[in-house]
Amino acid sequence: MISIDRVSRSRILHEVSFEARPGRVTGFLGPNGAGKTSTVRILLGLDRPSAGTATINNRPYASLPRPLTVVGALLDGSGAHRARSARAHLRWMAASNGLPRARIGEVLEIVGLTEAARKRAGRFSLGMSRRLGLAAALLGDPPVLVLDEPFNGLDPAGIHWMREFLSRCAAEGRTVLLSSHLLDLPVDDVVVINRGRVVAQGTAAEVRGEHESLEAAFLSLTGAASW
Amino acid sequence: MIGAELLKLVTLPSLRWAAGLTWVATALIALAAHHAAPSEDPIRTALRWTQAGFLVVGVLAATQEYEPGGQIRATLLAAPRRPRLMAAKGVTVIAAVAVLAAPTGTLYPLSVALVGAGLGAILRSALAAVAAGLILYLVVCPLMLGRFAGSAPWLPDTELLQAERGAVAAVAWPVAAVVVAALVFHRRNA
Repeated sequence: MISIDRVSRSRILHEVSFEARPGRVTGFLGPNGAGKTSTVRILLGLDRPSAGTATINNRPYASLPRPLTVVGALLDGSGAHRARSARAHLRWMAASNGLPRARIGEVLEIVGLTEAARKRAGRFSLGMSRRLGLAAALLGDPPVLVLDEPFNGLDPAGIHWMREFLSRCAAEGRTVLLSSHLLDLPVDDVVVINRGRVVAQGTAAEVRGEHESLEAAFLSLTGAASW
Repeated sequence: MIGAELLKLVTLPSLRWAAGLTWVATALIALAAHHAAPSEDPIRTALRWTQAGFLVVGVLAATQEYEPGGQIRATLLAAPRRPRLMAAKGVTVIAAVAVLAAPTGTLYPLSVALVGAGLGAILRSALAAVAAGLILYLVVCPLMLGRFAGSAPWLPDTELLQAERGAVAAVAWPVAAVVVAALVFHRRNA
C-alpha cells in the first residue's frame, strides 16, 4: 500500500494526495512536467517534500531496513555505471540488501538479459537499459513496484511484454504504481495530475465517467482539449 | 553495505587503472630517486608526483555515482539512510586506499585520497574535482609555501616534506573535506 498525503514541493506540487492498493495497477497519469516524477522521487526518499508525507506500508521509504525487499523502483536510466557489467551492477545491489546471489540470474532471466549479463551497461540500448533497471527493481522480489515511465524506450514487443508483466504482478497481489504520459494502459485505478495538482482519481471507469475514453477524459481534465 | 561499496570499487575499471598506474609510477620514480639521491627517502620523493594518482583514486571513488546512468539513484534506493551510507563509503575508501598505500609505508596517500573523495562528492564531476585537487596540491600549496613560509603547518602536503610539521594539517584537510561532503550530501536532493 502506497500513501501520498498532502505532499507539496514549492511551485511543483500542491497538496498531492492519493493511494495505490495491493493487487491493483494504479496509473499516475499526467502531461509532461505535471509533477509525476517529483512525486515518485519524494515517495522513494530521493527528494524532500516541503510538506506532507509519503509512505509505503505506513513507513517512509528511508526507514525501511532492507528497502529492496519491500519496494522495487524503476526510474529514468538503468542506474548502472556504464563501465560495469549488468551482472556486476546487480551483484553490488544484491549485496547491499543481503539478497542471495542466485537471485541475480533469476531477474536477468525474467527481463530477458541472460545473454547480455557480462556486457557493459554503457553498451546497452535504451530498451536494454530499461530492462536492467527493471531487473534491479525485482531483485528483492518486492510486494510493491513503483515505475516511472516504464514504457519509455521500449519497442512494441517490449511494451507488450511490460503490459503483461505489470498485470501479472497485480494479479499476484502486488501494489503497482506506474507513472506515464501514455493513456492506453492496463490500469485498474487512475490518478490524474496536472500542474502539480491531482485533478481526478478513482477507478479507471470512474475517471472515464461520461467520456468515450480515458484519453478524452484526460484531455478534458488537463485542459489540453483546446489544442 | 560496506561489502556492496567494496564491490563497487573493485569492479570499476577506471579505478583499477588509476590505482595500477599510481603504483607503477610510484615504484619507478622511487627507484630513479634512490639512484639519483640515495640520502633522501625515495618513496616520499616519488609521492610528490604520484600523490596526484591517489587524488584521482579518491575522486573516482566518489564521482562514479554521478556519471551517466544515474548510479546514485540505485545507491540511494538500496541504502536510503544517508548518514549510514556516507559512513559505509568512508570506511570503504579508507580501507581500499590503506591497502593500496601500504607499500609506501606512510599514511600520506590516504590523506590525499580522502581530500579527493570529498571534492568528488561535493563537485559531482571527476574533471572538476581532479582539477580542483591538482590546483590545490600542485599550484596553491607550493605558491603559499614559497611566499609565506610560515603557512607550512597549515598546508595539506607539508607532511610529505617535513613529517613532524605537517601531521595535523594532513589529518585536518581530509577530515574537513569529508565533513563538508557529508553535510552537502545529506541535504541535497539526489
